[in-house]
Amino acid sequence: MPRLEQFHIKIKTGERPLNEKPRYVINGFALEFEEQNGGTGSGQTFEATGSPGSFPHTLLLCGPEEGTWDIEEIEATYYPRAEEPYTLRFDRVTLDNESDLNLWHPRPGPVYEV
Amino acid sequence: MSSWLSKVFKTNSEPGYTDIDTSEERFERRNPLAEEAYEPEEEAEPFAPEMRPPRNVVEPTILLEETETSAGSEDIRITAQVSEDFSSCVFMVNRPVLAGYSAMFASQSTAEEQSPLAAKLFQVESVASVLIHGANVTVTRGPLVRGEWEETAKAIGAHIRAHLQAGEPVMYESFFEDMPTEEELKKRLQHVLDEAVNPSIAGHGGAITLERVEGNTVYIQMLGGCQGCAASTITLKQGVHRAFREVAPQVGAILDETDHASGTNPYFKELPPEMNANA
Repeated sequence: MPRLEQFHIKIKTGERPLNEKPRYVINGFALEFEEQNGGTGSGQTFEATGSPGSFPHTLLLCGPEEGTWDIEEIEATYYPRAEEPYTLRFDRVTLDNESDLNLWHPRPGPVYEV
Repeated sequence: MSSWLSKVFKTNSEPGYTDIDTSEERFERRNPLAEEAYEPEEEAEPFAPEMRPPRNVVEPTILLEETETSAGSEDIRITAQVSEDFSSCVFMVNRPVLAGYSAMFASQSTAEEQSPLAAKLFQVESVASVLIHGANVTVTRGPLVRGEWEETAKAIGAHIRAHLQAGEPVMYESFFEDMPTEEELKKRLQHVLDEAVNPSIAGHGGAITLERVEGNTVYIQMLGGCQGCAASTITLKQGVHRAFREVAPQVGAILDETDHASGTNPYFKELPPEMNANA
């Protein structure tokens, strides 16, 4: 597992919005994002940076404290120490007050058209 | 760059603190050799970020990047996705390869008896097993094989494309003729779970349930000590797969429906009452 210095996230909200500040969890601790732009209203896109500077045993996007959050798509770019950054896109998902989203995914293997 | 740990130790007296303050001013203020007597500030409570109460963790589906096809045929498109540890590669074909059933081959001899397609794939150097399931063909290499997949993937992709283009059967008829019914497979697999698998992992607080059988594709779930266990992949592959295939060699793909990241405390998740031997 590489040390994750920073990650940049772009979240497109679907129908049901998030009516609170988005946060993430690194190794059990909830933190606020940095360099926040945009919003989490219906149809809006939220962009922000997280700086774990640590080994991401768990890296989660917090679900809402109340209500339900429809996420249309997420694009996450990871900046591991001493490695090239990589970007992953996640499909739509719905979070509620009992769920968080796993944001940590190591660099996937290569893809070939064969 | 500040680590999340630095945020753990920031103080309430410094709102908006973003990094360790190493400025000269701070040093002077706290230097006991400075001319002015140093008066310690009121001891501030260390700031602690909120410990997040555990919740269920949702695993997102990772979307593959669209890539241009470079293959010779425009009709059959095959995308090869190498696993993170480079041990296997999934070949995703834009059409069903084997509909309704799945087939697993761990040796060339079995492949030659049952599947002309799998037999061809075993001719590619270093191929150790072939799993055909729906529109996917998963190939693993031998444990000692390292290095890039590109050349191997191209050779396998060429075999799959040529086979499908020629309209040759993926499986011989005998494969389907010898196939037990779903009920018969369920009965055999449930028996091996009850008699062999679950008693052996009960000591670790784990249990495996048979969710359903579709054709010859088996869906299982791991509970208790299995869920969230880093060794569960090994447990599943080495133990359950072998046990299932011994009693029912016709079993194809064995899919684990357990979300190993979920559960508020997976290691100590309670078993259902009917599976709790101490209940």
